Amino acid sequence: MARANTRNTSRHFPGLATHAAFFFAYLYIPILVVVALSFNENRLTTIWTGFSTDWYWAVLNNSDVLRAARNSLIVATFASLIATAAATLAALGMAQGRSFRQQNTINATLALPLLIPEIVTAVATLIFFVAIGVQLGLLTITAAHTVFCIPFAYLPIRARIEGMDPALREAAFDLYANERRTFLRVTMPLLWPGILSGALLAFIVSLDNFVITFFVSGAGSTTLPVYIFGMIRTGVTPAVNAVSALLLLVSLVLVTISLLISRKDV
Amino acid sequence: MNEAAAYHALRTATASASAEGAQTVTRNLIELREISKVFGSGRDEVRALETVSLNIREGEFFTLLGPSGCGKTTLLRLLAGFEQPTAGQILLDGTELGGLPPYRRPVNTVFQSYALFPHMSVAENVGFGLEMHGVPWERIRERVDEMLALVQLEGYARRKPAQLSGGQQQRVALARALANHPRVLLLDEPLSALDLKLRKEMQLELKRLQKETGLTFVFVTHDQEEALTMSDRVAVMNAGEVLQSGTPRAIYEDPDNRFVADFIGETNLIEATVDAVGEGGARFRLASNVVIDGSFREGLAEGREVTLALRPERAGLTAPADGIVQGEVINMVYFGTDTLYEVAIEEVGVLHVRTQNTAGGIGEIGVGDAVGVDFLTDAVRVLRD
Repeated sequence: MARANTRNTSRHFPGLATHAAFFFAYLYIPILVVVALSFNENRLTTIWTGFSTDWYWAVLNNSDVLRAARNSLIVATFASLIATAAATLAALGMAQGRSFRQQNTINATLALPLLIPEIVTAVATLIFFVAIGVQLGLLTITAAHTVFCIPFAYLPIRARIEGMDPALREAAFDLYANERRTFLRVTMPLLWPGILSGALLAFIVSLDNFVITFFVSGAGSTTLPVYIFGMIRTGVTPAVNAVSALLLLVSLVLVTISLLISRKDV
Repeated sequence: MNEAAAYHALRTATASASAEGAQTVTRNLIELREISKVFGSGRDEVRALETVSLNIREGEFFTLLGPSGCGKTTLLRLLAGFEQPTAGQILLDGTELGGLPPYRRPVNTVFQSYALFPHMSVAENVGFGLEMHGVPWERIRERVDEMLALVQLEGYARRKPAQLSGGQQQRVALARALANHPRVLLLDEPLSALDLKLRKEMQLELKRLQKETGLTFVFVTHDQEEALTMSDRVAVMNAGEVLQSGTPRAIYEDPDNRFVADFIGETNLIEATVDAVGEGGARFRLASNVVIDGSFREGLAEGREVTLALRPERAGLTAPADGIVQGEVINMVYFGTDTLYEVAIEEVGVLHVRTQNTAGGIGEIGVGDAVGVDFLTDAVRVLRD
């Protein structure tokens, strides 16, 4: 019934399909161009002379790129793990019967980092680190990433908890499982897809972050996005396109896995 | 204390108690003493239960019946231990349950949503309670097979709940609760999600399971027909209070008050004044020229205003001269097995009369005909309010 209705309403807007096509083209053509040009044989990105995967090999043999990629992976791994742990605890805490007003306040506070202009966070974080005298490096990047990763990890976990029948926990209690066993045998297994999905999202956000990372990274702690920015300063080569395409590929794969997991009906 | 030990202590205590009390048939298994439950506080305060006292007997099918929001589910949740009463005591076999968490009560619940664990197989679901008790694996497997046979789901052990139909999920939920030999089985509107045909089947099935296991069932429903057909005793609830409890027959035939008379089945509510009080009966004045005889209730005095209840099927249509009251048919509805007539009676109002459509009945009666309405003195019940 609902499906039939949505089909009808979209039919009542002639040209919707065309508009949608324009919209998606606007969003994705630049990205497709970058990917296409990463296979360009020519040194000058904008002149197509033939298909080649040489730039990928060049990138994968470049020790600077590899070091930046390694830094990115280290930061993303730790930031997403810490953020997911915090987000899971927050979501579980929220599920323990609180009034709607309290819930809304806490949810809004948790989502706030998504709304604050990134540059503000970046500057504030940098000033904070300098003030307390921490040396900038992988540690400071990880700390900063953990903060903005929390809301991304929190949302899918929260959604999962909200979608859970509260009677399931009661059923476990009713069947002689105490709090601990209920958590281990019922709550955790059902929450697991949400946690995994949250962790993957956090991982991607950390992997792709540029602005905050740029401010709080020090010498030797360059991450991939910061490195790409550095490459561009010396001119856009197909190598930049290749690195970007690789980063895009990793992100796409992770987002897809995250979506598939969170949709899974256990 | 270790849960299993605590549970077994309670269970042995209850088992010996039941052996002693075996000769008395009407032994109370559950006693609710002046239970009140208040949710929230201040302006948001909701009084869900108002000093409810009830006794539930060993081995009976007891139903809590009432409209939604009457407190019946709250009462069930207090028994299960999901909520604690604000005031009052809950006794199981004379032992106070107050403060005990749900996992230390020898009571199991069948949830309205079934609440089957979606990540576990049918067998794992059914065996969950036993597993939590530390029952050995071989014994769990035996018991699971036994239970699945009881609910006629042999061969479904490896399925996941999502692969089952609503009716099958319902049976798994029953098997899961029964597997633990609970002292009491609590059922929270378990049939409300099923379609009509399946619901009828499951009603019979539940009744059969209750007889076979001999367990005490506490069943919550808002469906009065379900309550009447399945229960040994029914408690009718409204606005957090128990208005009447008794056998289905007692509640239907002799409703105590307006709400019960009206909520259960159809009924004619007639305003009247007590005209005379005699031995075992009384005479009521319905209007200036209409006086009828009815049953007696304590506290009746001449001149008191009362409400009378008369079931439509306890009245019959006659020729105008033969009836106790006279009126005109203003509407009729044909139901197949019977017909409902609405008869307008001057100064009294409209009476509903249901007559069986048996062969050789009262013949052709149509809208506009003058008729008499006849009933036995016994059929006219006096309500308390």
